[in-house]
Formats: sequence, C-alpha cells, structure tokens
Amino acid sequence: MHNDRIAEILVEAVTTRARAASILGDLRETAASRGEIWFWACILRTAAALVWRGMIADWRSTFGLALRWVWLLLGAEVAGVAAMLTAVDLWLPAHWLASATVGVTYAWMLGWQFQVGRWVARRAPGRELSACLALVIVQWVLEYVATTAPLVALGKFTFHWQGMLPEWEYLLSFGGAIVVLRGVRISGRAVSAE
Amino acid sequence: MPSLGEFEQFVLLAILRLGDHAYGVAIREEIRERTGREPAPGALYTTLDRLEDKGLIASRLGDPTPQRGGRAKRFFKVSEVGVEAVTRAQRSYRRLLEGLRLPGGANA
Repeated sequence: MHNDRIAEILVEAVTTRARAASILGDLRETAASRGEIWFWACILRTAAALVWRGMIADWRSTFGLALRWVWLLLGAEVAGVAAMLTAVDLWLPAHWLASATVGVTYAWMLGWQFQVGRWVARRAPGRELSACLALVIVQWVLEYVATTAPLVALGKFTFHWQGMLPEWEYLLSFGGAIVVLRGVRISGRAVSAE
Repeated sequence: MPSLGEFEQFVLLAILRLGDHAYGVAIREEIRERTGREPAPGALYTTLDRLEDKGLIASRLGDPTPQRGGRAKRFFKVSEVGVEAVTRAQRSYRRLLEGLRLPGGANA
C-alpha cells in the first residue's frame, strides 16, 4: 500500500486535519487511474494553492501582522548583531575574532528569524504558513528596496535578476511556523477547529 | 449578494447537478465532462473553501472508505443563498446573450 505520511504532513500543514484527509482521499482515489507522479504533483500544487489562499483571503490582516513583526525582526537583528559583535570584540582574543564574528552574526540572525516566524505563526491560528509567507515577502521587498535605493539614488544601480532572489535564511521563518503547527497538532486544535 | 466568477459558477452548477453525491472527485469529473476543462485540484479546493466562507455551500463528512485509504469523503451542498447567486449570475449571462448571433451558439 502507498505511504502517504509525507503527503499527509504537507496537506495538514496548510488546512485542518479533516479537510486534509478528504483532499488526500480524493487525490488517492483519482491516483488509482492517474499514477503516483500525478498524485505527488497534485499534493504539491494543492498545498501551494492553499497557502496562497490563506495569505490573500484576508490579506489586510495577514500583511498587517507581517508588517508589524518585520520591523522587530529587522531592528532587533541589527541591534542584536551590533551588541554581540561589541561583546565579542571586547572579550575575545584577536586571533579568534574573525571566525567568532561570522559565527555570532549568523547564529543570532538565524535564531531570530526562526523565533519571529514562530511568534507570527502563533498569532495567525489556522493560517500559520500563510502568515510566515507574508512575513518573508514583506522582509524580502523591504531588504531589496533598502539595498537598491541608495544605488538608484547614486545612479549606480544595474539590474541583476540574482539580486532579486530572497535570502535563504528567510526560510527559517517557516521552521518557526512548523514548530507551532506541530504543537497545535499535539494539543489537538487542528481537529477541534473543524 | 456575493458576485460569482466563472469557475465559481461551474463549481456551484456541478454540485447542484450531482445532488447528494457531490464530493471533490465527482465535482472535478462533472466539470471536465460538461465543459471539457479539467480543473486543477488546488483551484477546486480553494474555490470550495471560498464558496463555503461566502456561505454559498455547506459541507459534511461522509464515512471513511477503504478505496481512499480509510479517508472520508467531504460532501458539498449548495445553500439557498448559493442557488440565488448562481441563478442571478446565469440570468445576467442570458440577458447579455439576448439578440446576439454567435457562431455555433444556441441563438445562432
């Protein structure tokens, strides 16, 4: 028999457990004649469509939440990195400084990204991943504007599509959302929400 | 009264046609047979969610079946508001078509 556990986790992450079960049942029923590739393609497209709908169905509140938290994310990221680098500079011997600086900067930025993702997800019950997607989009746009605006002002801006790609560490917000979702599933809210 | 997009009308009409047997697979199949268009499952499920949010349809879970890996079917039913909305939308279409001679159309 098919192992649908991964498909179940994917769809349950974007809708309630009962809805996820009926969607999976529908796709499994059709996959009997269409095959496994069709099944997995549909799982991914359905999950993406549901995340997108969760984000735009009530876009004012979703993006409002993202905007409120992105300032804390960016502000505390900069302030935290500065504070830690000062501490590292004061206390560490000079020969450790370069590697410690990189390590501390990344650890703080990644941890903070994850934590803010978790906070945002907790404030958007039932659309945790959608809220984190909105956070990532807002953060991406703000950082792109912040880095390109001075170049545009100086007349030194040249367009490179690589420059438009989001940073990989943004994805850690989704890690925060998944931790919240797992907590929700353990406490049973996803079942009672139906 | 909420306004309806073309695909929302397709879904509502398919549910009405299927009566008590309207669940995801049957709705997709009905739309495919009647319109020649195969809706993506993602589009169908998000549309069903949207119609339910608007109060145009209601859903209930059936019994789990072994062909579906022990998972229940979700059956949909058009509410009174849904029937009114789709009737109004179809009336608007008919009024727009009145007097037109379209190639291959009913009034050609």
